[in-house]
Amino acid sequence: MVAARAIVLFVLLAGAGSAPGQTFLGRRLEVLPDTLSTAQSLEDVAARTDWTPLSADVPNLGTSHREQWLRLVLDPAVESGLLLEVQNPTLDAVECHFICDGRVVQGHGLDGFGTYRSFAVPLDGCDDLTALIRVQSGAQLLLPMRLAGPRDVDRDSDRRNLFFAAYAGIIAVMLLYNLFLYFSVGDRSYLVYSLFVLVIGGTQLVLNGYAPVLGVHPESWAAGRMTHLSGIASGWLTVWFAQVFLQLKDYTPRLNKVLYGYVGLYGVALVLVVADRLPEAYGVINFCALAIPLLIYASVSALRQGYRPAGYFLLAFFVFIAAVVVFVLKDVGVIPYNAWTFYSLPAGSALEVVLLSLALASRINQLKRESAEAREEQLRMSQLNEQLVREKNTELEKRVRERTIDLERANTELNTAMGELRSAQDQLVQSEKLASIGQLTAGIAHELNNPINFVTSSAHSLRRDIDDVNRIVEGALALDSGSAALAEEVKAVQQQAVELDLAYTQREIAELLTGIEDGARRTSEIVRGLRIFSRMDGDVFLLADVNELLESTLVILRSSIKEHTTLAVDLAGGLPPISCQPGRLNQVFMNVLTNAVHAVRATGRPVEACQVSVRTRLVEDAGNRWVEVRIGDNGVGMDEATRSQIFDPFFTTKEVGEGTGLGLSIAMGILTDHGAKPEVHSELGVGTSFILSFPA
Amino acid sequence: MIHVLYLDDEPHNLSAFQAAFRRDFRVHTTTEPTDAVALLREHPVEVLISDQKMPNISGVEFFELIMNDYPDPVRMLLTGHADLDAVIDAINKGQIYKYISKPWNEVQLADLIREAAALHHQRRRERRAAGQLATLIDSARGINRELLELVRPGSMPDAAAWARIAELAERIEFTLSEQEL
Repeated sequence: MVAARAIVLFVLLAGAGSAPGQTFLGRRLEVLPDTLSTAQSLEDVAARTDWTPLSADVPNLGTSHREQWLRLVLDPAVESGLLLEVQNPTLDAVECHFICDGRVVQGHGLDGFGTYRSFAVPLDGCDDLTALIRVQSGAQLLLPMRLAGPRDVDRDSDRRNLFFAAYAGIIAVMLLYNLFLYFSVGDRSYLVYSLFVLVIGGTQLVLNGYAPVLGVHPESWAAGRMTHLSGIASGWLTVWFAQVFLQLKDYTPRLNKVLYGYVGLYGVALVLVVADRLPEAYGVINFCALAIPLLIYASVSALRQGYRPAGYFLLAFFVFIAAVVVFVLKDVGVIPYNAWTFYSLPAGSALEVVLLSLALASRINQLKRESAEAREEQLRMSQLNEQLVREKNTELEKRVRERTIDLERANTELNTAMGELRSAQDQLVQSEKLASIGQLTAGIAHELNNPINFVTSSAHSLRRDIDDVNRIVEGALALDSGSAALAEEVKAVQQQAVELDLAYTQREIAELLTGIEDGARRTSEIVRGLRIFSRMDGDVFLLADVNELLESTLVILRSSIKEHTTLAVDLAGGLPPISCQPGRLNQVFMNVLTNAVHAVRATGRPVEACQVSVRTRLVEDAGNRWVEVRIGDNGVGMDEATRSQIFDPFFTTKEVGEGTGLGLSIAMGILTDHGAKPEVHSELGVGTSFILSFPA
Repeated sequence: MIHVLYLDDEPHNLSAFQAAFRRDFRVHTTTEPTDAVALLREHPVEVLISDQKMPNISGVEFFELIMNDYPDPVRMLLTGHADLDAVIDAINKGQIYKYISKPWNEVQLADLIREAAALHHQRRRERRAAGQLATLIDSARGINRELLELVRPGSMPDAAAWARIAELAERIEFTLSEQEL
């Protein structure tokens, strides 16, 4: 908006700068066809007859770079005191000589602020007044000349100066603005653009005669070649700027290379300028103007490829080209030479500069938009990501929750199952214990029944026998030594003794007494064994003699062992007591012994051929002492597969319902509690031996 | 006197039994199954008592062993504790009359022995009666066959045949009278 306002203001200024009704006096000028030799005097020149009149208001003498002599016949009555103004600041040299009545009156040139030069027409009263003007230019030799009053010239000059001051202001603003942008943004295209603006502005100012204002001495080498130098610089910078701005490297890489060729051509032009071949240099520079269609093509191509700033670039170029076209058409006289056409170039260039600045802004905007879009996209993506993550998280949380619930449920189920298993195990252990107790009671019942049977029975019989004996004894005691029938009575007693079979009865009494004694002894033995065996001391560890424990177990099992097998007991004396839970250890011994009896029974051999052996030993090994209990049998034995499973719970070789399969598994637990390791050797058909080693 | 044979691996039981029952019965005791067989052979044993739980052989096995040679003695099993398998075997294989648990009650056991002996006698009587009946039936069948020969239909018996018929009738009369005795 600021730029648009600046343009509007500038156009208004340009309008103001143009003096309406300004007329150029080109058609009154006459030109010499050749260059003068230095020998000729000005008067002679003026008097020559081969002056050719010019036919344009603003004559164009081409780019010959040779001296041109012009003659202007003035009307002294009207035109004295006016200023002859040459409105071409790019002339290398301008000389004006006035000839009054065949006499040279040195006119004085007025360098109007280094731009247009004007010469005061002498005030002397002449009849004939002619101006001889020598001009030389390395560039297009245009001659917009007029005669005007000093006030008009001053006014127009002021307006022009104002216009170019504004122009310079715009250029300066653009330059500083873009430099500032370059330093703040760091985009190289701003620097290039700043240089471009500087060169374009400088070129326009130089072309319009403001070189001295810019600090270029009018007499210096550079001042004389300013046109060329500024043309080269502006052309070169235009190409460079286009390359950077349109990103030709990306959009039209081949064209980009061609443009490098132009840069080279500008180099050639520069060399030519340095070598003082100015017309050739001018030709090369003009040829380089062909780069403009290429740049247009490049910008169209970039625009087509979606690069929007190229549109502004194109517009700016069209504006500038239009201005150039107007300027050139003015030069060739197709359109009138006036302030509008004259100012078209600086105005066009100002517009171009502003439009390119807009283009740059658009480009920056595009970049900004792109980066904003990218950021937005990034943000959108990250939001999307976040959302996805959130969704995923929610999903995960949900799944974790579900899983947790599942796990909790499974856990509960497992706990329940474990509880059930534990109670089942407890029941099994209990039933195993009950089975042991059953076996125990059966064994004990049998062991006790025999002694009880013969003790009670013998007691009855003994009473009867003693009654018999007592009867005989009473008979004997009733004998009276003084009786006459003593012999008869003795005979009767003896008779009674015979009848009651006293001898036999006496033998029987002894026998029964032996039985009763034996029964009593055995009963107490069993009871003692039972007491030792079933010492349910709980989990308390006590010092106990392994031999005693084994003996008590054997007492309990005697009947069942006796029925099926022979028994070899070899208990070592002097064993150290071991720390144990006697009740639980007896359970182990009973279990292993019962298994041994089962194994020998299963062979089907007669009892004499079956053997179960129980042996204890003290084993010393590397400072460690062990009480070793070896329980062996010559039963059916086990294969390796069976042997490896005997301590597994529920493993049984017995028929369903005969064993719980827990005996040895429980025994294993008990042995582990005692720090004892069971060792099992077995061979099918040979037998099995359990070696239980208890740390002493 | 009733002959009782008692087999048990526990000698004290044998002497206690002997002492308890020698006044009432003729008691034979032994710890060895082989001796028991010898005793069966030597004495008219009417009641046979065996302990169930013995080394080498169980009571039921022993009964099974002598069943064929000595079917008559009434068998009773004496055991220390109730063993269901032993009871089932005793009934199915050993054809046991009674199952007695230790410790025995003297009076009950004596009664059981007497009952067993009575059973033994009854069985023997029945067996003898059955034998006689079979003989009778045999002779009746022989006489009948001869009679049928003599009185074949369509021919009148001659004088010799009539004499023979009378003789056979006499024999029937005699056999029946003998049987009644």
